[in-house]
Amino acid sequence: MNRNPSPRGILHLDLDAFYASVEVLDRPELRGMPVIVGGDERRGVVAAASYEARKFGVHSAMPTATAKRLCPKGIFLPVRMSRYAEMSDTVFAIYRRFTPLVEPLSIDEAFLDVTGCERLFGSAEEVARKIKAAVREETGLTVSAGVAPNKFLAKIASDLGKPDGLTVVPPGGEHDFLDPLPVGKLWGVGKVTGETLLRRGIRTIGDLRRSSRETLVRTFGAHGEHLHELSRGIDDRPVETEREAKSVGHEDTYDHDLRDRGAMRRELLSLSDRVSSRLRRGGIRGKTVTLKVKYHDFVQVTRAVTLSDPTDDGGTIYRCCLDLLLDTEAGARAVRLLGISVSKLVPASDVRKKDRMEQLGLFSRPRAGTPELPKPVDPEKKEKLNRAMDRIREKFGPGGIVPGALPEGKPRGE
Amino acid sequence: MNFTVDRDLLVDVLTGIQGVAERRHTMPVLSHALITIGGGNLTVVASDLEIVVRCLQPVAAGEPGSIALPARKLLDIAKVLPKESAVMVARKEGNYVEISSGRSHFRLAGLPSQEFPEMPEKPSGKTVSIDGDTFRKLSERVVPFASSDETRYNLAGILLERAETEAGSMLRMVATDGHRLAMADGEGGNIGELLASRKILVPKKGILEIRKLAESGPGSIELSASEKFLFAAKGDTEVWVRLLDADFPDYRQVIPKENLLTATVARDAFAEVLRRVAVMAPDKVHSVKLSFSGKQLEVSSTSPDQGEARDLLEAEYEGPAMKIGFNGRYLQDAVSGVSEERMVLQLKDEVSQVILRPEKERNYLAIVMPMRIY
Repeated sequence: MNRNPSPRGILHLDLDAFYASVEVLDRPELRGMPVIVGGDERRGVVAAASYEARKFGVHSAMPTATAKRLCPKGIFLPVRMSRYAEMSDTVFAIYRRFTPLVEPLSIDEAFLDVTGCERLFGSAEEVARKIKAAVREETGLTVSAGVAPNKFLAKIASDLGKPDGLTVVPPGGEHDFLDPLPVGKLWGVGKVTGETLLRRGIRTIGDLRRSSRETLVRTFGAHGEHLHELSRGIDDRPVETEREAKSVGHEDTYDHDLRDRGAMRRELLSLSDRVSSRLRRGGIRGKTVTLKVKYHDFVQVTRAVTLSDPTDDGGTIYRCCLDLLLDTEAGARAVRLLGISVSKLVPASDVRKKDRMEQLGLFSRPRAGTPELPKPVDPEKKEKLNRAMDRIREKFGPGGIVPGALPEGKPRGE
Repeated sequence: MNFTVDRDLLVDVLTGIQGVAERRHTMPVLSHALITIGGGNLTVVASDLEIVVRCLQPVAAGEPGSIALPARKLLDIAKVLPKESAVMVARKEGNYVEISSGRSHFRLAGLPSQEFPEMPEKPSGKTVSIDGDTFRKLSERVVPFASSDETRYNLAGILLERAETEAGSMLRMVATDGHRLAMADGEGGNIGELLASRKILVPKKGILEIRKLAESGPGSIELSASEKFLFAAKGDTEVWVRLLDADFPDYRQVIPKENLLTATVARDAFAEVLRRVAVMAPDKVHSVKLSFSGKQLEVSSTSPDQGEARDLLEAEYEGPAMKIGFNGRYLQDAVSGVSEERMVLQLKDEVSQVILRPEKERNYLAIVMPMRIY
């Protein structure tokens, strides 16, 4: 394989206890207190915990009820996703001042490729310092950074110095860095693989690197090959910006299982709205709409439909999802999570200014259970409407305008 | 196993089964033809598990036996041998055969015959006889309307059913891809014996294989069906097609009854105009516009950034002026099915399905959904 002759400078940036930090920022009186953001006690889980709360053993993904037991004096706050998204946008905008090659992994994590930025901003390590300082100064948040020649090492590195850390893996230092770490730090090593490795006496990444590739392949198949590469710190994946993203999606886990199709439809409308505005913000459109449904028993199904033309319109995405929902057992079975993603993306500028004609379907009368579909709107008018909505939201925030069917006081993202 | 066969006959038989022998398949044996010698006959079988073709030819047979040989390679060899020569095939050690003609010798690796999938049984039910030409015509009319989208499993098939019409008991074929539909009836003979109370859904590829039988010469095709297979035989060749286990949409529901506006046009002239205007229709969507007013039908197309085309056609039309968008390809396919000189378009409005059919005959109709013009 063709290795880059000059090493890359990859940064993994991870905002520390992000949701909790934003809450503390907005309510300074909470500083120094154990702040826990998450769902409610009955069935919610912890989304983020401040470092003060972590001292009590509270961590994210833990049931809120457990957290309350561990940390009864904790400040328990509900998730305010739209506020976090806003802060996230501010922080990511700072990242983009240093390089256009920003790959968002989630609301609080991103990879940056700063290869070749030396003359502008200095070495990768210096860029990381500058970004950390800028984020702290401009937002008051702290971010942990991993600096390495590839994504995999950068991600492990950022995790080691938390909070407010800066860990550098210099080119050539891969083995020194990885060898002492437990194998569990590797992507794709969970409980099962970890135990299998342990039975073979493989405890650290160094142990893994020194074991033969053949044995790993025999035990784990293709995954073994991958593990062997990782143990040597090899990872050639490029940093992909959102424009190159494979899909754009959103999903929500609900406090109460949804049983009523009407409620599901409202949630789908909200999700469609968010996905479409992200598509438009990214200047992209997608052809395939995928609906994900997780039932109360965690069994998950996905249903997809491919459109004749790429779309960034919330209404179109919503109508697809209504149809797809009928192909699931949602309603007959209670639903704990709904998600929508749009893939097969193309830049919106590539979408031809069509002949303005749309093929109608022979059997596409509304099916039983679907409300009468609204008359299709002229795509140009739809575009104008979407642009106007985007402008209102730019000015007044995400809650500035919401679809009428979405209940008041429940703005997007919460 | 060994036998001697006429080179031209071998080429014919192997050409006939190529379409079914899969080239890229997860099961290597499916790219092979099963060659069997027994009872004075050479039997060649190809299968892709959905379709099985078997061809029987009398040959100067020596020792009986059977082996699976790569279908494409075997045909390649047969083709390069001199025309009208005698070809000798003899099994050697292992799974090799030696193929020779005159001074040319080939050694070809095969697979043991046991690896070849088992033959489906011949349906035990009644056999009905359909004129080969009728089968060919019906399938030609409807096959282009079936879906090529494999995820729309039920639309990728052709519906075969018995239709009771004024002209008697007919074999009816129906196909749709969700945007358009075609229905064709043909002389069914005793089709009731096969499709008395059932409809069968046959994959497009299977219909095409049976059509090949029909095209092999005059005569009728013998059809029978079991729960799982449609079986067709003509002369020395037999075809099994696995039926689709899916629900075909209720096509009668989309045949409109309130399309009271009619436009009558000359079939050939309409086909010509569509062909001309198609040149400037945008790629992929192939959209064209039909503007009905008075005695004229204007057909036009616009390709953004490229230009336009427009053509005129005489039409007997008495309704209000109307402009309807269509996928031009769909209209062309619909017109192809009409064999009369004059044809009728039955309309309702700009967004409802349109019926296209011959002026007099009732044995064919196509339904095309418009494209909405904004």
